[in-house]
Formats: sequence, C-alpha cells, structure tokens
Amino acid sequence: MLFDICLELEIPAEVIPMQLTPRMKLVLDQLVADWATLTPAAFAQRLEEFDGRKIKFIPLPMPAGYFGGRVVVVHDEDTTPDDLVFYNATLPLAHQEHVLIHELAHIALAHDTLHVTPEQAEQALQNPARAAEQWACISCRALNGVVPDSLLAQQDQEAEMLARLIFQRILAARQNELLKRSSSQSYLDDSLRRMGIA
Amino acid sequence: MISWSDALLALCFWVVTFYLFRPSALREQAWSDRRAFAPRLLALCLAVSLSFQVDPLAAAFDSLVGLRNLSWLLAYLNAAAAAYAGVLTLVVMGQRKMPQLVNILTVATFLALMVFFTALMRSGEELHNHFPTSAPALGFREVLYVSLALQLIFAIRIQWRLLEQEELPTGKLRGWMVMSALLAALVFFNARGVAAYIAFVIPNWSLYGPALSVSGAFVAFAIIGLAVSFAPRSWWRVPVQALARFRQLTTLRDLERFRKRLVGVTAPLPWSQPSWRERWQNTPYALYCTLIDILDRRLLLQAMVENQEARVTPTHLELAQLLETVPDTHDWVELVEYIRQVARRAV
Repeated sequence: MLFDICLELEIPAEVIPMQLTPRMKLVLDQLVADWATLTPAAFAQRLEEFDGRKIKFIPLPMPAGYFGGRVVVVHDEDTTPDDLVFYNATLPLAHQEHVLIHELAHIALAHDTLHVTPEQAEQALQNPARAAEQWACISCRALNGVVPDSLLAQQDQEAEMLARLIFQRILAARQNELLKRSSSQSYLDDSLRRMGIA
Repeated sequence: MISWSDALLALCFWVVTFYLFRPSALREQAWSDRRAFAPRLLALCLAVSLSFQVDPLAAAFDSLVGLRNLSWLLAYLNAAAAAYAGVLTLVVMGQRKMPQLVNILTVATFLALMVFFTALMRSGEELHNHFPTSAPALGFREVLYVSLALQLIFAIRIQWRLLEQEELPTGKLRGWMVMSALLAALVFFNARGVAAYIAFVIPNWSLYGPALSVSGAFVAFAIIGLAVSFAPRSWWRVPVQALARFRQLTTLRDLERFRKRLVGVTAPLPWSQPSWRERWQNTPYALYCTLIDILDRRLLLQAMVENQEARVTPTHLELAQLLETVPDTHDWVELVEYIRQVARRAV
C-alpha cells in the first residue's frame, strides 16, 4: 500500500532546478539561531540588526491576485533607507507568513527593488489598488504578469527558494521538538485528533 | 504435545504481569490503591490461568502433585478471579460501586467449580483441547463459560459508560481496544459453551474441530487485545507515528493531484519543487510546499474570476468556489487538512 502511494506521488513537470547560492547558504547557516521559534517579525529583526535598516510590515487590502511586495523608502542621503513590506491582508494567516518570509528573503539576498520617496509610500498606503497596479514588485509572485527569465523573475525564484528552505528548517526544528515529546500524552492525543481517529 | 498458541497467550500475560509488578511501579503505587491492585490481580490470575491450560504443563503439574485435573481447577479458579478483577478494574476506573451480583456470581462459581472438581478428580486426566467425555467435565466447563459470559456482560456495560465519558483520543483508543477484547471474549465463551454441549450430546459431531478453531481465534484476539491495552503510553507512539506517516503520504498524494488540476487552469509552477528524496524523508516539508502552491493558485484563480477573464470556464468557477473560504489560521497543518477535504471533493 505504501509503495503504491509512493508511485502515485507525481513530481510536476515544471520543476526548475536551482542551486544554493553562497548568500543563501550564509543566511541559512548564520543568520538564524533558533529555527523552531522563527517568525517573520523575528527574521525581520535579525535582518535589521545585520543591515542596520528598518523593516516595516504593512497589511493592505489588496485586490485579488496580489500577494505582497517590497519598496525601499529613501529619506535623504544621510539617512539609511527603510524597507516597506506590503502584504495582502486578505490572505490566510499561514499564507501571509509565507509571503512575508519571501519578501524578507529578497532583503536578505540584497535584491534591489523600487525606490520611492516617503510621499510616494504614503500615497501607496492611501490607494493600495493603484500601487499594486503600478508597482510590478507587488505583483510578481507566482509569475503573475512577469516575463519569464527576466531579472525580476529570476530574483523572485531565488527569494522563493530561500523562503522554502527557511520553512524547511523551521519545520525540521519543530519536528525535532515534537519528537522529543513524542511519547507524551498530549502529543499522542494531538496526533490522533488530527488524524480524526479517536 | 504443547500448543504453542496457548503457550504464547500465557506468555503475553506473563509479560504484562512482570510489567505491572516491576519494582518502580510497586514503589509508585501502593498495594492498598485499588487502581493498582485490581489490574495487577487481573494480570497475575490470567497469566496463571492461561499457563495451567497449556496441556503438557498441566499434565506435568498434576503428576507432580499427584492429584488428577488439579491444574484444571487452578486454571478455572484463576480465570474466575481474573474476570472478577477485570470487572473491579473497570469499576475502579469509573469510580463506581461493584455490582453485588458480580460478587455473588464469583463466589457461586468458585463453589460450583469445587463441587465438579470432586467428581473430576476421580476421572481420567482431561485434555483442554479435547471435547468433554464425562458429565462432570462438561459441567465443570459450562460453569466457567456461563459465569465468565455473565461477568463479561457486566464488564461491557461498565466499559461502554467509561467510553462515553472518555474525552482523550488515546483513552478512547485504549477503551475501544478493551471493548473489542471483551466482545471477542464474550463470543468465545458462548461459542465454546455451546460447542462443548453439542459435542457431549453428539460425540461424533464433525464441527467440533472447526468450532474450536474459530473460538480459539476469538480468544486469541481477546487476550492479545487486553494485553496490548496494558501497554505503556510510550509504546503507543509506534502505531500512532506509523499511522501519521501513512496519512502524510496519502495527504501529499491528494494535494499534489489537486495542485496539478489547479496548475492546469491557472499557470505553470514557477518554483523549484522538493525532490523525491525530500518527499519521502521530509514529507511535512513537501506538504508545506504543495500547500503554498495551492494557496498561490487560489489567489490567481480568484483574480481570473473577479477580472472576468475570457479564459474563465465553469471549471475555474467551480474550483474558485471550492477554495473561496479557507481557515484563517497560522496552523498550516490545519490548512492542509482543510485543503485535503476540498481536494477530495474536487478531484
């Protein structure tokens, strides 16, 4: 039975192999100390400590089809620019977390994006639908409206790969935590409840 | 010749007995605590009873003591005591009072067995796996079968109430295991009782052998089920983890089929996907990636429908409707469970 199931697991035809870049390796090996408790906010804080810039999360009621994006707000020459990370507030929370980690992965990989003035950022907050239409960086996830093989698409793939590798480590760390208490009453009860067995 | 199945069933309960009588358990729970005493008495009596029913051992014991069929008496007295201890265990667990009828029934069984034994002592050595050849041998067996069947009815009633009150899934699983064992034992005692009577009345009854085999399967199930229900909690993680793993793989299959369908009506997957090795060794990660792909495609689908794109077909509308609402939770496992149900409706 298990063997049959394995045979039925299909690898999609559209698999794009991608190599781990040195920068990704650096982020994965050195930036995060405790994977089990990592949240987008904690990851952002770590990046802020590393880069000395401020990262702000802004939930917006974006139109359908938009996930989130990032712009750099340039104040003046003497001040370190801020990163504004917009995300679609209508997404399920688990999806929002993934989108945020994806955008933070862009920052960690030092990908460039649109530079705006504080006034332009304020206008975007007032009219998120318009900003989403005008700023390609908000609409590129899942290659929606982006030319394949362009720099934007390539950077998006890199960021997504890093985001997934981050979640791979988060899941592995949480799995290890679970295994430590795998004989406990609560673990066994939770597992059975999730499986709907009892 | 030794019956290995009888010997193994006895061994099963010797293992449980040693587990319940291990020094650390004896230190933790005093003898006066009925919650500890009742299951220990059950395990010990059942182990002794089953051991005395292994024919070569029984014959060796009887010849050593010099009393014919004494092993039968000891086996059956211990079986009746084990049944009493079993009901007592359930009564203690449910914080109830012991039914007076069970006390009377147990005493009556003890007395009746002693009476039949006086006659059995004077007859030849009886084999347990052979049909009864004399009236005392039949009476001796029927007393036990009827008594234990009645005690089991009490036990099943109490266990049913315990199951209704049980809230923890592990408790329910353990409870159902005990319930299955009790029901199998009830079938066994009824089947053996009827078969022994027919075989005595019709000595050439050809179905006695098959009846023994079928009822033997029931008693094996009952004893193994009861023994497993004593297993420590840490042992339960083995079947629970195996079940969880199986469920992960079937969920991944369902989600990947659903994703394939969504990809067909939206856009190709742009991301690197987990390798075969990762799918097998790190199934939660593969599930997570598939879930995110599905959620991405859900948003693309919603945009296509909202923007009334020309390529929108009834399939798009159907899928968009199925995915219209998803639980707003941080718990991705809960989301996976939800999407799995949607996937099963859609594919």
